[in-house]
Amino acid sequence: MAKLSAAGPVKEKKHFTRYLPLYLMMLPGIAYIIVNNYIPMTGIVVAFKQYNTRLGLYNSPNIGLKNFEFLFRTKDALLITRNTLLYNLAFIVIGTLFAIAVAVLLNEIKLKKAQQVYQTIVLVPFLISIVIVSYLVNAFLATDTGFINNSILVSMGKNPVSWYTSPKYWPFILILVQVWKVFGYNSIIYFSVLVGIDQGYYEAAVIDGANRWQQFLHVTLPGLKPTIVTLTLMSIGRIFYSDFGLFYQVPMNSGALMDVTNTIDTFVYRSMMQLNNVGMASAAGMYQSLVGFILVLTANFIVRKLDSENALF
Amino acid sequence: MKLKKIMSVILAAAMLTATMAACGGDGNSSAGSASGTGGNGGTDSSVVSGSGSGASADDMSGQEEYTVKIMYFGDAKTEDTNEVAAKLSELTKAKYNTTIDMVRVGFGSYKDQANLALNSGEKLDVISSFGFSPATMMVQNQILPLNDYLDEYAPDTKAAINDLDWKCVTINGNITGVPYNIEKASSFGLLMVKDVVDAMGIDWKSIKTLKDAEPIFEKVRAEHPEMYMLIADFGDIRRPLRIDPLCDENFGVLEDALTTEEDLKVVNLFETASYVDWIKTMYDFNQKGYMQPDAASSTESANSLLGAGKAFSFITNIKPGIEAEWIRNCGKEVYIAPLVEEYSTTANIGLRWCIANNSEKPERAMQVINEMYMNPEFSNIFIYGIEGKHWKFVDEEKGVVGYADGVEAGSTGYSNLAWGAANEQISYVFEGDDPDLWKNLGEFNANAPASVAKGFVWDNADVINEVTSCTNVLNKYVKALQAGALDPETDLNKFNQELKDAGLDTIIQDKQTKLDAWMAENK
Repeated sequence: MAKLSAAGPVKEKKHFTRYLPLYLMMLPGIAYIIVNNYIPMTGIVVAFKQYNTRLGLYNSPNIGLKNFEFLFRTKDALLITRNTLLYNLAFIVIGTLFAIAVAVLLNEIKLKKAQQVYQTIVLVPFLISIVIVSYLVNAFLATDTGFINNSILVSMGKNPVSWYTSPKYWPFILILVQVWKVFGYNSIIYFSVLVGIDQGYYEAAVIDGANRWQQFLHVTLPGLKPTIVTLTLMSIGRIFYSDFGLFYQVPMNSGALMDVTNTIDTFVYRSMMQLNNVGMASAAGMYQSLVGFILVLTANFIVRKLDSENALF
Repeated sequence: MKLKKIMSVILAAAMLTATMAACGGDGNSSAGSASGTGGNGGTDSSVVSGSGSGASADDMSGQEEYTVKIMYFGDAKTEDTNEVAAKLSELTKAKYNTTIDMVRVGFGSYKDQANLALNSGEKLDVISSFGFSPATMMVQNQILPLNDYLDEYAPDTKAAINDLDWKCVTINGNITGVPYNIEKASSFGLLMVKDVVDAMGIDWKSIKTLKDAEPIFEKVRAEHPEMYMLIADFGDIRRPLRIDPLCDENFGVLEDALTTEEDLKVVNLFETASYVDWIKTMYDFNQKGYMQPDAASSTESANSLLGAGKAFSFITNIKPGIEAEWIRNCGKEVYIAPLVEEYSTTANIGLRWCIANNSEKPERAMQVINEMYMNPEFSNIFIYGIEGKHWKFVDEEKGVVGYADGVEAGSTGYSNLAWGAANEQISYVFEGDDPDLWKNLGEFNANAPASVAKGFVWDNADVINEVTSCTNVLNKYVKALQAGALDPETDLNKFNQELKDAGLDTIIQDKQTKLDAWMAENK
């Protein structure tokens, strides 16, 4: 199993000279990350300031936690945090299951040509811009011209539904759209891992009399485990972020749906669009990063307790 | 197609400026009222020599050389813009020894780019407040107060704009910018497609309120089932109400802008009788199928729906020349039945020219703004570009211009936006518009009765958290409510309750206190 997991960092100092060329190759990337990701992080101070262009980022007057107030003063905070977390949980669980299922099916296709065609097809939704996706969804859901109302509900003798003002359907619609959009990408990753599993394991399993399901449980799944853990951990790190396009464009920014479509990103966007307040926007961004950071640490801590080999760090 | 798109953006932009409700006013005015000086300068280029007279008393061409960078909106090619800037520089070089550098940014990205320029400290002198809240710009020090520069470096402009307008752009004593001389009053009406009205012999003049349109909708729909009777523009529907927004059209308004001085009560718009009445009409229209379906989340512009023959009517703003504007926008002739007569509030003085905090020599920027506002020659080049390349005279005597030969709206390298300049009323009129357009516009502005509270500028700094929370509630309900998609009987109460929970009463109280204090000081 160990050889399936990503190679761990080489810690031995004596190897340093041996790997020197690799470290040198890493330098530009590190420089890039420092300049683009680490130095700007100091700008986080603006979340505690009354931003003033003339005084600049670091010299603007401090106002403590005042910028954070707007996030927590109404029940919106609870609502958007709930939406963000639950949607992302659903995406992680359902998305992973779906992606693995598709990857296994892909792996079962023996005809090389067909396999390539299917691989390409499942990847297509991932490549479509979310704005276009929102219009595809609209083609299904529009009240007067939409496919569902026009071709299904009416011909079944039912009343058309005003989808864009009926919040109760949207949790399902959003999960469906998101899973449809990203499953291809994840299943290709899982598929590439599956391809790497030594056929010998399967042969041994067959000799031991394992059926297909048992092969899946005892060979395929353990083989996939490190990848599942890594991808899940990374998703959990982003659990406090939401795909802005999915939650803003796909529901066509319909206010009536906001109880079920408002996430932290859309909330901040909507509140800040009119105010243009740098400090408050940064405060929201910081809250998001902080909680995301804590979640990654917690998730990794749990994984390390259960199975230290698969933990990220 | 492209023209339509551009025009729809322009229209959307114009609407935005009307609703932006960025105001000013703290009662620091010194110059006597001199309305009209700049207002109806006409298109006679002989005004040129006279316009600079105030400044030319002492010759300023000996100043050290300086480049003023202007940033504003609209589609233009860089080469063409540079050429226009060079032409403008000829004028300013002789007069002030100032060179003009100009950048035009498309509507979609103007605000982002301008914001970046203001925050990054790059060279920038004169900037349009389009899309911004000048109050926020001032708080964040992105722009400089003009108080120190106006009297000395732009006395003509200072005198040309009346005291009340100056108050409207003054925030906590700081003059944020020079207001554009565009339409300075609100008026709304119901626009109807002319050929349908004529063909069916509809008495459109009988429409005095939105409710009057119902029998007409019923008739038209019977004949034109393919048309939506009433549509939204990108999901937005104008409120045909005579409210004074008091710098924020949603939270705390005067129900009647033209109310008396004794009766200045800030109220919750969404509980006022006139608003509820309007919403009920919209709900009724929606129930009867007159409204465009999914209007609240529509991403179609009114222009494209009207142009495509899919719509019959639309609630529009009214100003002189609006019918010609609609012809340009959607290619259809229209009738407009007035629903709300013109009136003016602080919010009507929205768009303004500001001096960026980055400006090294704000006084030189001020001189250029003065030129923009007062000099017809400068203004014409600024708006229309180079003669022969971008435009030509259609009727020189009347001051009417059109696109140059071989150039059209979609292909010009320098799109003309009269309202995007400081003072369109001293420029030429574009083909298709009434040659008296600017005179009519000046009269429209002058004749509109003003709210008693005009000049009052509300600073929301004390209740910014409440405003943010209420904005979130607002976004949830307002579009769907105004498109008639929500039942006013149930959802309006929920809406109001959530607003109250979010702190609306605090906002209203804050506004009322500040308004009362302002009234005591200014009236």
